[in-house]
Amino acid sequence: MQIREIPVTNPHGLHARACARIVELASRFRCNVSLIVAGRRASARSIVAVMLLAAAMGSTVRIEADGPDEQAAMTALVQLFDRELTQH
Amino acid sequence: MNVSFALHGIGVSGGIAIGRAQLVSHAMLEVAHYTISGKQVAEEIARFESAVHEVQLELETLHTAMTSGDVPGEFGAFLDVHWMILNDPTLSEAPKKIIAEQRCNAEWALTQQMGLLVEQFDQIEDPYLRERKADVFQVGERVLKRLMGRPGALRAAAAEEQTILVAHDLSPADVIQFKHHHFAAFLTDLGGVTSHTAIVARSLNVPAVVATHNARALIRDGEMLIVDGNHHVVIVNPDRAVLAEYRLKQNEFELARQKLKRLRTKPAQTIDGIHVALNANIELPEDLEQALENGAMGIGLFRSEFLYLNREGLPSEDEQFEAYRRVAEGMEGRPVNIRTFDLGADKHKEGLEGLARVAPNPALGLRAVRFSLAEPRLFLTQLRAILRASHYGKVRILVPMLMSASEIDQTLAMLARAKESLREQGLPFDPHVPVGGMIEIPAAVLAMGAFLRKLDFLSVGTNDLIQYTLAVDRADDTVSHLYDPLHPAVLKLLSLAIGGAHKANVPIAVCGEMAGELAMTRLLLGLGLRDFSMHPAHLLNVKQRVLQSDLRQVMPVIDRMKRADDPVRLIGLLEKLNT
Repeated sequence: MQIREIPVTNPHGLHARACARIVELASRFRCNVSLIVAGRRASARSIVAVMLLAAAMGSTVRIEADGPDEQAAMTALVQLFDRELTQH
Repeated sequence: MNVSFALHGIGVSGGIAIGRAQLVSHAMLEVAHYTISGKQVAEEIARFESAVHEVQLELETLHTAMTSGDVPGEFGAFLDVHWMILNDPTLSEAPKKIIAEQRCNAEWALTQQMGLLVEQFDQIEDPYLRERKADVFQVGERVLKRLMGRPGALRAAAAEEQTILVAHDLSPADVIQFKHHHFAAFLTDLGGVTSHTAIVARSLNVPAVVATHNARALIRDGEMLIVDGNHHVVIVNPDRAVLAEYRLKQNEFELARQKLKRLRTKPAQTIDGIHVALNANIELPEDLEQALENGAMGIGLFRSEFLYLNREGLPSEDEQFEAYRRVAEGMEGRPVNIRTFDLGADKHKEGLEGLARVAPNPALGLRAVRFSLAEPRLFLTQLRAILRASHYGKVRILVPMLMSASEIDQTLAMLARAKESLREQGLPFDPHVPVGGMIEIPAAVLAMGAFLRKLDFLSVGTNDLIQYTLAVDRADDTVSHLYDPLHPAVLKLLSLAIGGAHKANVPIAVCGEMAGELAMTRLLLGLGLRDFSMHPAHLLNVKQRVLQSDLRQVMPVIDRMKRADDPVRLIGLLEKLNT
């Protein structure tokens, strides 16, 4: 299993469009991806669940990827977070 | 036979409309609950699935239409989010389980599931993220409407039949979308004179009555309505005699409107020969046409913030430049005052970082020029866009909500930077573009010296000036009766501002609601105002009033009004002024 923790520095936190991108990306891989914020866990395949995590600016998102292509999934997700969610 | 009754509200846009009600509803309020037999479960689930599928197609069709048409940018991304929410198991799968477990109808199952989700969203602390429940809600509602046999899209009104929109409340985004449907009138439970419904209804020149409290609950879809915006009244299911009477009134009103049109090219001048400038307030470049039709001499106020609505990202410099240039060119050398963004308070905009949080007291918070100065990149982009447009017409910059000399200095410094960067790139602009300030805060009037020294012109925004002077939010209908343009303090401030500007030889205008109110025309003339800017729909009415006014008769009454401090007496004097 791959695990990474990423701080949310975007002032809007995980906003709707960001959630959409995460879910869209996570759905491309075969492994299970979970996001954990403040002890609450959501499947990265459900946009509503990810939105309900309510990861605001200043919180930390823990990404867990578990399955055959977990390495690739994690790399892609970390890139997405870097590109879309750590600034603006 | 349906019972006839009347509803009262606030008429925020004049005129009479007769037509059928079209309710814009939150479908959840009307969902029926019934149980089904075990045998029907499979059928009910299939019905749910096909509703979801239909909405899927609906969203895909919308998406295609949006990406091909001239729709504000990034609307597509918004639809993508909706599409994903629709296909999320919490919305597309969970209700099926509820149908099977509780043996209930699909509508009820979906409503329960949505209630559950909304409840979870409500527990989110961050207000911005919490508001995302609106997306889930809207998607759920689309499915619900499909299930109930009422697709979400507004049906087009039959050509021969007028349609009147009845809603609980309309958001700015709703309202902009409704601009393209041809509603004969608007009716809402909430809202006030300055609500978005009111502003858009006036711009479309259709009657509107707001703050009816429960119109949405009392009126049924398709019922015949008479909306009388002049008299703040709505008549539901009128009988034949009433209908005939109103058709007559409607014709008379239309006739008077036609008569006014002849004043279009006539100069606005009082009986005793005083010239008055009558300019238009506009929100979109498309409003220009209406301004010209009504004989506007210039654009006294171009509210730029509407560039921000109905989109997710920020408008680029080029996009802004195009919008500003269109107006500057369209006015063919007549002045166009482009107001820098007045974002904040009621014009909450997602996608702007500084506004993401909900301020504890938005009217007193980070808005207008304060916001612009706090977001220098955004401000610079806008200033550059305005400057570039100044090459194509007589553009002037108007800065909202200035309060202190240092804000003026900072703004001018930003402008100098914008000019410098354009020079470096060799882009053309008018180097002498005048800069004006809005007078909206009592402090600005009471310490006007800096404004008069540093700025080229002033414009009084009476809506905010009154709100801040009296500490009354006019959109809050529990206190809106306290909102009083005739309050002695307001009159004193207006008189100080206009008098002070004249003495210093700085042009001053009024661009708030008051400038377009017929009852106030002579009062403002008497206070010395010679430059009015108002919604285009009011221009000809006010011109007619100016043509019928004689300052020699107005002034003695004004002198008495300036000394009066009894509200009843002030109302009496105003009536005297208008007879």
